[in-house]
Amino acid sequence: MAVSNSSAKQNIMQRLAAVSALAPTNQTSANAWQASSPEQALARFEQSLVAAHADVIILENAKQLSACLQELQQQHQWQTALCGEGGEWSEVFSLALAEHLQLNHFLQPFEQLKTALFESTDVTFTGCAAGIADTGTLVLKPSADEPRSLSLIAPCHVAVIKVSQIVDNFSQLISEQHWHKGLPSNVVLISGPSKTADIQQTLAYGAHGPSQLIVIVINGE
Amino acid sequence: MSVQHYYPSQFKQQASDALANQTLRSNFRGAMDYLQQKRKDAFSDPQELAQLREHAENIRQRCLSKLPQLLEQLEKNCQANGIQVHWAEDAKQAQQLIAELIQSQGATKVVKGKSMVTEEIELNQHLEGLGIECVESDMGEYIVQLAKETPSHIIMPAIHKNKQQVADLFKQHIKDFDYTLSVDKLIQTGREALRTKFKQAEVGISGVNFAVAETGTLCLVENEGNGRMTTTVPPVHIAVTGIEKVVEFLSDVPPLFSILTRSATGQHITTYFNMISGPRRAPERDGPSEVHLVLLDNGRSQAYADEALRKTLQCIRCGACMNHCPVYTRVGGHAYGTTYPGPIGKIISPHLQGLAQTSDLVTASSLCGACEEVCPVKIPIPSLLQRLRHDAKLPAAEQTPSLKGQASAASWTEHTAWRMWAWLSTHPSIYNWAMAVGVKLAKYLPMPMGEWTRCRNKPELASQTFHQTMKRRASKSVTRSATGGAR
Repeated sequence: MAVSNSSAKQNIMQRLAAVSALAPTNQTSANAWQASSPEQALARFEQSLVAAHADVIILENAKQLSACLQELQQQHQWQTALCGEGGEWSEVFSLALAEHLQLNHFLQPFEQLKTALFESTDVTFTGCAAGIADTGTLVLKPSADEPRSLSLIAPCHVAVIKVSQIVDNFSQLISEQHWHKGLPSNVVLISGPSKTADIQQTLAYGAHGPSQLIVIVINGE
Repeated sequence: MSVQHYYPSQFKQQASDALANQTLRSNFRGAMDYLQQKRKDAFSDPQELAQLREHAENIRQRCLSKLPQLLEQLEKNCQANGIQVHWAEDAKQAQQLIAELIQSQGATKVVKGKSMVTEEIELNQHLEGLGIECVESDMGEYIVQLAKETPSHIIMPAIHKNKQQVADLFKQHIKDFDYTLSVDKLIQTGREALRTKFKQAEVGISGVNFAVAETGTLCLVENEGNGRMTTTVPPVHIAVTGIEKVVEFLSDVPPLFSILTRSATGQHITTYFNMISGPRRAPERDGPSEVHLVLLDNGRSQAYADEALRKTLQCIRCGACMNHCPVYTRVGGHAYGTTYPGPIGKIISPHLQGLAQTSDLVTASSLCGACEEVCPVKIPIPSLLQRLRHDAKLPAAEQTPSLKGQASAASWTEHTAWRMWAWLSTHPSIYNWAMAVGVKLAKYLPMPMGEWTRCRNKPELASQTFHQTMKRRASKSVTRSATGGAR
């Protein structure tokens, strides 16, 4: 690296170290939202997502997923789609949709798929690493199986989540899954379709990311 | 591109210009009413709000109390994650450093996500001078950049414009724009224009909302997805942040994130919360191959050195103080002439730019306290304003480090007047004589008394001094009680 600025660091640290700052003695905590039952958690998850303009579909079991995907394809007339290669549901996506639209898999490096992703992909499909009931949030941990841009660039993103993956709140998720021990290169929390209110406080969807987010919840085995 | 400049030293003129601009005032009034209501709805339970504010304040104070150690830890963990860490003492160093990083890639096309710290160092202008195109990708920032302006609010940069003004701007700058006042269509126009930029960009620049020391993670809060685009699509990502944004634990993030979005726009959560802990790792297929973090001081260590002023650094940049400020609501963001406007701007800008430039800002407050009341991390803004008013006029107290521009607003006449007053007040007989003469002469005072009578009536002075009045009243009541006693 051409840029070397160790003296800047030294000078800054010297200025900070010249001060003895005391830690506040009163440590507090804040209670995050907790569900009284799994039904309440699912209800809040759904309500929050719907309030954020997402579509939520709740299925009784994973067997219904295939038909649900086909129905969505019919309804939205998707022609081209992209999904991961090794995600939890990629096989279901392939089996359900391969005959109905042009389904590509994210096999190449992003650079080779960039144009297709930006210009000719109607919809992308992913699974989720977790869900947060409190705020109606999908947690994605992108990987080689399901890369970061799968949930970002196409106009519609369909995400599948099992009800057992939904926790009450963000703090609980971090502690239960021991996130402090290390994180993947990217973790992203998604709570609705892309939006903005930057022009005269008027809400508009599809600012830069997907204008439509469809969440399919599998409420059973 | 020369950006329209405002200066903190011309606050008074800029504020009166803004007050006379009816469109501007109605744009701000509408926006502030909207944001105040949104925040109110987001905190419907006052007890929960009180608890959350106290917790957020404690987290920020704990993190600041360990700032040097946490910065070391952040650097170490970022490096372990493959993030290259750089340090900049001031705006100039940061500009040069970022420009070198971009030039070492041979890059000329840059996209930037919304970040106030890069506004603070005037990065766009610097890069443009070097032939590097740096396009703002947040819708509000994009609008402001097209208009050759700076943001007038830290969360909603184009809040001073209405949709007509945005449509006119697009017509002027975007080829084949089909004139419309539909906000949906305007946003779609911006989306299409910026998608081309994302695809072409060789470097993406972003800010940071929280930098987590424990895991070496950079967190970005946003709704649009432009921040994710900026940090996902180009092959190089440069994140820039002030040194105060570091938090100790990952578990510090959820409460701060929650109170940030609720205070800022009344949202329980934003659409995206993007946690970056490194560049693309094999066998990943996307994400930048290089991630850099630039840690900027630029006057923050001056605020850090003083226990009271250090509270300024607790700020999580939600903008609630400006949304509730009676001054900001009326004059808008540009009048301040600083990157950070409103109450937080008044207490942070003296450290960034020095008191000589900003001494008018610290007086532009009625000290009504609304800012402190809504601050999610309980920064005592009014008392810090009073402290800075003092520092602008007088030398630093003993054992207290002198601020940049300390006492720069001191005036010989004011100082002399106060010293004479002090002397007079400690010499009673001369004081009484001077007052007696003074009230006699008061009626000869000129009618307009400069600034004071510009928007007030000249006060009617009493014809005798307070001491004279009290003496007369005392002698009357003595007579009265004497006669009363005889009855």
